[in-house]
Amino acid sequence: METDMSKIDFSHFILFDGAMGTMLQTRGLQPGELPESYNLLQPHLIEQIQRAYADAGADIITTNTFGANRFKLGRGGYSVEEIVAAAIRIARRAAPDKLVALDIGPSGQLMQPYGTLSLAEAYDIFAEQVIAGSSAGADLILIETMSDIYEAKAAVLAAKENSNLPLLVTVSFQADGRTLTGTDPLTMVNILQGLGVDALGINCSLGPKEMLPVVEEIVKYSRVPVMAQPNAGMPKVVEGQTVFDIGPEEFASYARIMAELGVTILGGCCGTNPGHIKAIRAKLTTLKPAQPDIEKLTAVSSSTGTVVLGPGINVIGERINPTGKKQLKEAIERGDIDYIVHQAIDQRDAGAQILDVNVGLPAIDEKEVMVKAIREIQTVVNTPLQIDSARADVIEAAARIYNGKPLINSVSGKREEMETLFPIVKKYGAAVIGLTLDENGIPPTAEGRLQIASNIVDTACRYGIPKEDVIIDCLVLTASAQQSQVQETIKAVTLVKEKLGVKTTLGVSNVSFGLPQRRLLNRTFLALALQAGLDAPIIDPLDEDMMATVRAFNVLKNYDRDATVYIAAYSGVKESPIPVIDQADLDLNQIIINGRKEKAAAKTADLLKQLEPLAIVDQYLIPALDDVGQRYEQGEIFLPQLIQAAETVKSAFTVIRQQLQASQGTCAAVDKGKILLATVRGDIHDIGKNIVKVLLENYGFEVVDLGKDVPEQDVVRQVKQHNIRLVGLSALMTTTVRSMENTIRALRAEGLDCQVMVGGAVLNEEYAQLIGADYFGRDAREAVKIAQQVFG
Amino acid sequence: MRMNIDYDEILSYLGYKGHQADKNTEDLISHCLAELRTLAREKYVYDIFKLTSNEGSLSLEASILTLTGRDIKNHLRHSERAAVMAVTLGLEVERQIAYYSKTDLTKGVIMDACASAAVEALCDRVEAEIRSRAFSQGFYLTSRFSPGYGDFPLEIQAAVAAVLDTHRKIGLTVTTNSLLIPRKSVTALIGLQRERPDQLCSDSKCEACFKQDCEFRRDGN
Repeated sequence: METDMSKIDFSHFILFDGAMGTMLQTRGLQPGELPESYNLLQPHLIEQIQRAYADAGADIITTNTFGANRFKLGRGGYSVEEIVAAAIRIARRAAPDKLVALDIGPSGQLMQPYGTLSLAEAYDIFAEQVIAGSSAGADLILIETMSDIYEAKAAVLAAKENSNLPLLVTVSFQADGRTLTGTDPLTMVNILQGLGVDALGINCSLGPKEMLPVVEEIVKYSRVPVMAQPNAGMPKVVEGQTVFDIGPEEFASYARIMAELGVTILGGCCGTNPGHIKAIRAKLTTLKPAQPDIEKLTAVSSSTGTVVLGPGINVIGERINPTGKKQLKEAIERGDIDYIVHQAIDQRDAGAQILDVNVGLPAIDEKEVMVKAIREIQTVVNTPLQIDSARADVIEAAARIYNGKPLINSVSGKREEMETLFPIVKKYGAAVIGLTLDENGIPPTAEGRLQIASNIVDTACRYGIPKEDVIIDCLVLTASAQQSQVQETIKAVTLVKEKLGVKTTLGVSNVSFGLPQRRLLNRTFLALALQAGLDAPIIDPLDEDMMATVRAFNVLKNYDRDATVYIAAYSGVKESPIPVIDQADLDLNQIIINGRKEKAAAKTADLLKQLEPLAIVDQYLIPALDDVGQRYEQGEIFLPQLIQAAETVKSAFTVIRQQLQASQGTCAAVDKGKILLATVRGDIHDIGKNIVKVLLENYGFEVVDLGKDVPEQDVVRQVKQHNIRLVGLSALMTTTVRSMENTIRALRAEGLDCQVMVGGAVLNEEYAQLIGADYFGRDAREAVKIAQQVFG
Repeated sequence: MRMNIDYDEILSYLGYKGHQADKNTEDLISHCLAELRTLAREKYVYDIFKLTSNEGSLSLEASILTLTGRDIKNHLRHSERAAVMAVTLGLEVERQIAYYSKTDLTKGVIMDACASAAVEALCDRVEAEIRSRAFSQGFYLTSRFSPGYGDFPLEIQAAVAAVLDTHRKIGLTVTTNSLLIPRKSVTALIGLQRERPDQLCSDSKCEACFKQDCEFRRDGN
C-alpha cells in the first residue's frame, strides 16, 4: 500500500521515548510476567510512564505492545486485539498531542530452517498485530529489536501489505557487530531499505558507546533516515540486580555524536527513563540533521553476507540451470533437491559469489520446486542467490521466501515485461538484470543496446528502483553464427558503463556455441569483456580456465590487493584438513571398510570395466557392508566409522546407478523398494534420520526424504503420491513423539496400506507399540533389517 | 577460546563407551573442535531466586515459575534458593552441523557430538560462576537439573526462557513443542543449600532419568 506520510516529517529530528520494560520492572513487574497484560490490569501505570516521556519531550510514544503477539499472549489467555486496542487508548490518553507508534517486537520463535516458524506463519502473526494496531488508530509502526533479518522481512511484508502507516524498523546487534542470527549492518541496510521501510536503525543489546561502530556503518549505506535507541549502557549485575548505569547526560552526549554522524531519529531502550529523553531533547535543540555522504552500492545479500559488485570481478555461478544438463534435469524431475544443493556448494567452493537458480522444466511445478530449492540452498550456503525464471509468478514466490536481497534474472526492454516485473523487484527490494533486447529484438549495434539499457534504467527509476539495483546484460551472441556481433557486445559493455554508470553482466559461454575447443574461446572472450568493463560474468565456476582468467584479471587490474586471492589459489600450498596416509592400491572392499570415500567412485568405475554392475554390488558392496555392520555390532568399530563406510558405499553406488541408467535406462536391477523418511512436525533433529537414510540407500532402497519438521498431511500426501509401503518416522523428544503418534493416526485414517517404523532417543519397543507403530528401529542397522523384512 | 571440552564425553556421544577412537576419527574430532572454537558464540544468562513452598507446590519467589514433578522437588528438597540458568552456542554451530549433514555426514555427526560436549562444558563454567557467588553467601550447590529429566516436564522450558528473557538476552527461543533453539542450548536449575550435598546425589542426573537404555547413560564408573 502507498504510505501515508502526512503525519510525520523525517526532515527534522524525531525523538522517541525510552524504555517501558525496565521501567515496569522497577514498579513490580516480575520476571516472566507479560508486560502487555498491564494494559488491562494496571493501565494507569503505563499511562504514567508514557506521560512522563511526553513531558520529557518525546515526539512519539511507543505503545506497550512489544510482545503482543498470539504466541506470547496465548500464555495469559489474552487476545491480540484487546491488548493492542487498550495500549493505543492508553498512549493517546497519556499524550494526546503526540504521535503513537504501534510497537512490534520479535515473535519469540525462531524462523525456519533452524527453528520451526515459517515465513507465512510469521507473516500471519505480525499481520494480526498490524491490523489490530491500524484499526485502533496508531499513527505509525515501529518494528523493533529484531535479531533475525528473515523475521524482520516477514514483519515488514505484513506491515506494508496490511496498512499504509509509516514503517520504522530497528535491529539489535551484538558487541561483535552482528545480530544473534549473524547479520552484519551492511546486509541489514541492503535488505531493509530494499523492502521499502521509511526508516531503519539499531536498538537494544548495546549501550550507546558500543553501538557507535554499527551506527557508523549504517549511516554510510542507508538511503532512508536512520534511527538509534541504545540501552543505558551494557547491563551489569550488582548485588543480584541487573542495572544499566549510563546517566542522562552521558547518554545524551552519545546521542549528539550519533546525530552528528547522521542519525535523525533517537530514543532509548532498556534502562533508559524520562531523564534520558529529556537530556537528548536539550542536546537536539542546538543541532541540525546532518547530511552524510551515502555510498550507493550495487549489492545483493544473503541473510548473513553481502556481495558488492565492483570494482573487483564477482562471478555468478550458472550451473543450476537444466538447459543442456541431463543430470540436473533428471534431478529436478524426480524432486532431488539435494542434488541441486550440492551444485550450489560446489560452485561456492569453486569461488562463485552469486548463484543463479533456474529450475524451469515443462514437466514440473516450477513454482513449488523453485521455492523448495531456494529454501534448501539458503540453508546450506550463504552465497546470495540469483532468481532465474521466465515466469513472473515463480520469480515473485521465490523473491518472497528468499532470506535476503536477491538478484532477479531477468527483465528485457519489452514494455510488458518491465510492467510485470518491476513492481516485484521494487516490492521485494531485489536487484535485477536488464537484457538489452526489446520488442524489435537485439539491436545489431552497441549504440542500439545502450539505448535499450537506458530505457530499462529510466523505467526502473519510475518504479522507484534506483539505478544501482539494475545490472545490464548486453547479450553475448555466438561467434559461429554472428561473428561480427562479438565486438559489438564488448563495445556495448563499455558504453553502458560509461554512459549509464551501472554494473554489467554477461552470459559468457554462449560465445563459443557451435565451435570446437569452446573453453578456449570462452576464456579469451571473458578476458576481453572484463577489460571492457564486465563486472559480474555468469560462468561455470568449475571451469578452471574461466576462474583462472578472473583471478589473473583481478591481479592485473590491482583489484586483488597484494594478489592475496591469487597466491592462495596457486601457491601450491593446498590446505588439507584431514591428513590421510595414502595406502597403495586398495580393493573396493578395503576402501569401504576403511571409509575412504574419496577413492570409491574411481575404483568402482575401474571395476565396471571388467564386471557387471550387479556383480559389483553382490561381490563387493554387500559383503563389505555386512562386514562393517557386524564389526559395529560387536563394538569393534563405532558410529563415525560406520557412517564413513556407508558414505563410501553411497559414492560407489552412485557410479553403479549411473552405469545402469546409461546401459539399461533404469536402475530397477538394484532397486529394493521405496521408503519414506521424515522427522515429524515440530522436531528439528535430523541427524539420526540422515544416518538411517544413507544406510538404507546402501542396501538398495530408494529413500524419499521429506526432511525435518514435516506436517502430518505432507507425510500422507507423499505416501499416496509415491505409493509407499514403508514409512520411517523420527522424533527425538517426548513432546514431539505426539506428532509421531498423530502422523501414524493420519496414515491409518486414510486407510493407507503402509507399515510404519519409528526411531528416536526417547522411544522403546513398548512406547512404539503404544503410539501405533509397526516397528521400532533401535538404530540405523535395525532399520535396514526392518526394511529387508518388509520388502523381503 | 578455551572451551575445556571433555574429550571422553565426545567419544561417549559417538558411542565409544570407554573405547579408544581410531586415528582417522581422532583427526576428524580435532578438526571439528578447531572449527567449533571459531563458530561458537557462547552466551549465557542466569538468575538466583528464593524458593517458596506452598501447599506442596514449589515456586521461585517473585517470578512466574512454579516447579512441577516429584523429581525436581526432591532435587531441591534441602535448597533455600535456586539458580536458573540458560546457555547456548548460537546459530553458527547449527548452520555448520546442517551443512555437514548435507555434505559429509560423518563430520556432521562428529560436529554434533563436539557441540553437545561444548554446551556441557559451557554449563560447567556457568555453574562454577554460580558456585563462587553462592559460596560467598554460605551456600553449596546441588547438581544441575534440566527440564525433561525424570518427571520434570519439558513443557516448563517456555516459562524458564520467559523468566530469564533468553530470547532478548542470548537469542535462545523455545518452540511450541518445548524444543530449545538453537539446538545446542541447555536450561537448568541448581539448588543453593546450606549443607553440603551428599556425593551420591551430586552426579545424579542419569540416575534420576527414566530412560534406562539411554546410549549416554553413565554407568556409575
